[in-house]
Amino acid sequence: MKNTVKVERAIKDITQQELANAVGVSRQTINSIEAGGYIPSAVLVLKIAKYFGKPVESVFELEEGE
Amino acid sequence: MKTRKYLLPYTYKKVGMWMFIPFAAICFCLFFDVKLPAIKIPWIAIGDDFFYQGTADLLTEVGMMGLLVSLCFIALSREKDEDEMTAHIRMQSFVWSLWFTSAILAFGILFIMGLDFLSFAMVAFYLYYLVYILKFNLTMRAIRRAGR
Repeated sequence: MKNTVKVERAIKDITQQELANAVGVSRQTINSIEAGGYIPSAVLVLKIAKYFGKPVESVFELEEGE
Repeated sequence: MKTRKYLLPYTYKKVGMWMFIPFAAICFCLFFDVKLPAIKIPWIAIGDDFFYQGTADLLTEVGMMGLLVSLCFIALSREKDEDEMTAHIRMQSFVWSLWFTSAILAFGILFIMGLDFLSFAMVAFYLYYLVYILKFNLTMRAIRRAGR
């Protein structure tokens, strides 16, 4: 799964810690999501998209073959 | 999944680590037949004729039980930053440890015989806990280092 969390975070000018606090996870989780090392749950995906005020599909995208 | 329901608070991890040292030392001595003071106490257990009324060695019972409790405290306590990714890694570590321990047990069953099998069984009691704790904590450490 691809995501633009880092880009959205840069647009909003917030740190990983601030985003983590806002959606209720650890900073390591946000870092792993941005690096593509962890696929977040549906609840977390919705929380992140809601925080950025964007539709889910514009922040998270399925990759070829998934 | 709410980890608060089935995991101990974080402080139990530190308590478990401190408990592990003396009880592991006792079990290490028991494993290598180091002479320890024998304190016999009356004991009721399941044995010959179903109920066994005899004596047990206090140090052996306390040492092995203490090691089990300390490993449970370490393995089953929450992380400071427990969230869904930690829960995911926890589950992965459980499964990985089960595979690894099963392979070791299979090897022991097939290739370790006689009295040595008793020694192997004594270690096998704790093998799953030790492997899980190592796997989980090494994975979490790698993630924390990558996130710096």
